[in-house]
Amino acid sequence: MPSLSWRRGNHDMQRCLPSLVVMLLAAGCTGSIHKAGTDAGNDADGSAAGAGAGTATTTGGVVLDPVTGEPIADTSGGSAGPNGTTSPTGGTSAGTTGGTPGEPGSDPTVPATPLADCDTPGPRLIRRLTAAQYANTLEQLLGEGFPTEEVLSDPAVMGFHVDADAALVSDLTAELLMNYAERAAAWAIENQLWKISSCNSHDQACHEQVIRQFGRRAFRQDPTSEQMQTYLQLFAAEPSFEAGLHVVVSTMLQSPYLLYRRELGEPDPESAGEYRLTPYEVASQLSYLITDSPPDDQLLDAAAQGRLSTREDIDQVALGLLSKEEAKLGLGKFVQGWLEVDDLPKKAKDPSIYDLSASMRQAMLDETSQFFLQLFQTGGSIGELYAADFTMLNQPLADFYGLGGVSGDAFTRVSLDGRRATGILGHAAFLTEHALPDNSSPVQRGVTVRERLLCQDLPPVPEDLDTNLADPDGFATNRERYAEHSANVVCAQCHRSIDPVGFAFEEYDAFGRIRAEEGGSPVDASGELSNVVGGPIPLDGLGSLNDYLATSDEARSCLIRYWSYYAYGRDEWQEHECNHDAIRAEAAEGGYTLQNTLMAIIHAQHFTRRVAD
Amino acid sequence: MRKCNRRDFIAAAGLGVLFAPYVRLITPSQAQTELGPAKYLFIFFTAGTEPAVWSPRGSTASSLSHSVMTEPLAPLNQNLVLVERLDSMGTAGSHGGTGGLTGANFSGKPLISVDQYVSDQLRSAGVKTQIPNLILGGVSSEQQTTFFRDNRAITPIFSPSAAHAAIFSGGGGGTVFPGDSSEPAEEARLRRRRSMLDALNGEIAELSQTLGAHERAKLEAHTESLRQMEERLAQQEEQAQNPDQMPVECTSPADPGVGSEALLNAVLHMDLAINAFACDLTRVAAVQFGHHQNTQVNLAEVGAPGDWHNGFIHSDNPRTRLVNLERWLAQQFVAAANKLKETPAPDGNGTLFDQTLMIWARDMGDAVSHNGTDMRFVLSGGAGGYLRTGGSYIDGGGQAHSKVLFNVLEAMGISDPSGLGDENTNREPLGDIRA
Repeated sequence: MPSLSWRRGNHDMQRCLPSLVVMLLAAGCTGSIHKAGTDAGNDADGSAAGAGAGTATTTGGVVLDPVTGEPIADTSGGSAGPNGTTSPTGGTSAGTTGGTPGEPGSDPTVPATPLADCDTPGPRLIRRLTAAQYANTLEQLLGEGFPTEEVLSDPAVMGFHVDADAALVSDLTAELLMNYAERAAAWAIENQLWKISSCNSHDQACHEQVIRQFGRRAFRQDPTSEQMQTYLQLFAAEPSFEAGLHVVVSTMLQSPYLLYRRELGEPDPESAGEYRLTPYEVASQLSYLITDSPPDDQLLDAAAQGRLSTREDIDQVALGLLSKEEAKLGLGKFVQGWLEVDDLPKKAKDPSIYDLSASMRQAMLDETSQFFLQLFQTGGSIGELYAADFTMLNQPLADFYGLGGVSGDAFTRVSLDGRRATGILGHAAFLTEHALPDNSSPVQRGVTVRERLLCQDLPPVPEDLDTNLADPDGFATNRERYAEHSANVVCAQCHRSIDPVGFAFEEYDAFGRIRAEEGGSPVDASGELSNVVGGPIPLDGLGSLNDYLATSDEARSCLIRYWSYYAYGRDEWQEHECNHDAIRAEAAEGGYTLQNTLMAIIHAQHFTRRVAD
Repeated sequence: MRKCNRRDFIAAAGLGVLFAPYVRLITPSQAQTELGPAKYLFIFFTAGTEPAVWSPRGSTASSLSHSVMTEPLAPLNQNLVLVERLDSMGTAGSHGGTGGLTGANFSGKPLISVDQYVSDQLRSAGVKTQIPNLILGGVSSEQQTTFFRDNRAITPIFSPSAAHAAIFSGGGGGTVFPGDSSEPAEEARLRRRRSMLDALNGEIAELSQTLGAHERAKLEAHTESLRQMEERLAQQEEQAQNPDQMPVECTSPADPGVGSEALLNAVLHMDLAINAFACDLTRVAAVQFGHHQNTQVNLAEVGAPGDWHNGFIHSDNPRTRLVNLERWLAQQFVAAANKLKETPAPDGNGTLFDQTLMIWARDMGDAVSHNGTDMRFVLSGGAGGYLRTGGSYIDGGGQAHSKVLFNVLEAMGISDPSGLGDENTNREPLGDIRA
């Protein structure tokens, strides 16, 4: 199961010597990492206290025993995953299913019944737009060129910034929104009046027209009669049409109906305790997932006409969105977050070794995003993320790699022909981000493989571990520097799962450049991938690691899990494993192509159905 | 109607570089209630360090003998208290530990950090600044684990530009439209904002009715955020209705922008926080320098670029860059103190330094070994006479680090400390810190 975004054992220690060693108990190792988010998100009464702090609990998937290093069996009674591993159901901050009759938010005609079958979606929720989604929404509403400002913060959770619980409007955010909305509305009235209003008379007829048309786009559904009244009053209170329009637009730009995507639905008369999301809500889900932008007029029309009710309808809309230029936004954002490379623009690198410019960093990120997109659009599979013998390069990046043959700044498909490792692990973005400023890092690369590609939780660094370091100048190669990890009993408990994987990357330096020698000796990229099905797998260079990952069910399952979290904003709820099992099954039927995987996430129960929150 | 007078405040305050050439006049807090000796709380927050190098050996309760890391603090010696060897009692020490400013782990009691607790208590006591508190800085790519209220980790304002807008743009001039001539612009702006707030609150109430408790809590946070704005609006309206009341003069700085270096952004945040104090816009401000897990540092004063934790703490031998970074941080702490000394207090009684409790706190004790058994604080500021003076080192001897959080409450005049921490928290302030 995906683990929390921060790395516990990710230390490039050259030597660790136990002094006052306080050994973490096995249960404590895997639990303590998630304690902060877990406890906050699992109030005993499911009360509001956990709101906003409830990060996804991540105690599923393969958990490594910190003492033996072996996968430990889950005894909490969770469902079995595809590899035969068990995963706990985990608590959630969702409270009980079904709601309590009489309590706000529950339908009194729907009994509060725990659902007997396993095929259960998660709870209804509202989900604040991310900063980028808010900007894209305003661009659609106001047109290009509108003033942009940082008004929303996107908390980091599980390596992404899309968490449904953590993103709030709190503290000074409402004031930031108010200030900004007023400025943006004023700009729009002065520069794009035609886009926000098709009339300009200060009378009720025009007011209604504006509220209906602009409000539909802003709220992603038709304004209710109550909203019509509210905004008509706002309009009428002003001395001029422009002043009234400014107040109305400013308010709509801060409205909870704009800021929060609603995944609430309406009670399903055929299924007690369940809610079916409305076509408008499904339209929003699809649009923001794929394009990071709101549904356009055409999609809103489809929703209004009920043309998002069947699976075929949804597929048609999804495929339409995927064909748009904006699809690269949603897909690119996912892959950069999944691989934790989105921070590359700020990563400290040693300029005395290579002066990595801002444009080159962006090119590296674009390579990975474009590769993912290309694979997606050409029916590529999850396995080909590791095995595909091509990449996407522009001239600067091709020259950086020493490959040549590409001209211009546009990205084009280039066959690798064995000149570099295949897939995402051979990308400079991955290799540069997960490295030291001046050298490769077997630890960072090994941890990332474990946590982000295989969804294996690693124990935290034990407390009171004396990590005093040996002199790095005493070692000729990275392997020698890190050999202390395996030589020391305390360090080895974690690092024997990490370093041997990271050594497979040693042919690539701190910037992803190929090196044949280090410290006067040929690079030794041998290693081992332990604690996997069919393992331990001997490794010798990235090719061997790629070979395993390309056919690994764990790797497929892990990607699916992260992509599901990215789509849903939540990772766990009661019976969530069933939803995930269904996704895996459908993705498998579709050959685990990236497109079929995304469609499986969209087809899963949770995408269109919910239970009470 | 707000009046603006040009004053030579900038030169007198020595803060010219950042400031726009106009002066804002602010209505004071509705009640100039003096609760405690200290009126302002400034929290300077960083990751843990290497105790063996940081520790100012040879220091005593009445004299300081600085280490290489603490030496840049020497200019503040007369108003400096260094405390270490405090035990977090299992609440801090590993990555993500919550105890640094809370003195507690997650428990049956909602987790709250000292800044938020002080902020709430001040408001309950009638101290109604326009902004309850400021949480600034940090690293946007990392999960937040430092500041809490209601069990929720608070996300700092990462961008100095956004922070500037939040702090100083609340009183920006409204847009003038045809037909407005009969209504003064400022009154029109306030009236319209009041109308918008009413509409927004109505929509939130409507949406809340459809939600269960967990989801409703999100809108409750939103409602609270609107309420804060509403209170600020009320103060601005009062000012508009009482234009002759001009008790506080301050300078609104220019937008500082935002850079890519998190630690330099934190310096900008520090200036903004002090400016907010100068305008009495808030009494509580915290600036987080970096993040315990991942802070990319590219500062000439530190050395080759790298990650504070994985690089400077766990990869370097010797830890030269950590020493350099700690020295740089100490210099920033002193710079903050100097700015406070140069800034007149809004109530006219001395300087901001005289009235401020400055506290440098951390979320880990020994960051090399990841433990919380050797937590440390640096305290400075006049704090209204609360802090002992002359330069002091206190060996905590394993006492609970949470005790210092209760010194903070004591200094700020908070009479009810019961809500901070959990049932295991030691609430007895350290006597040795007091004057």
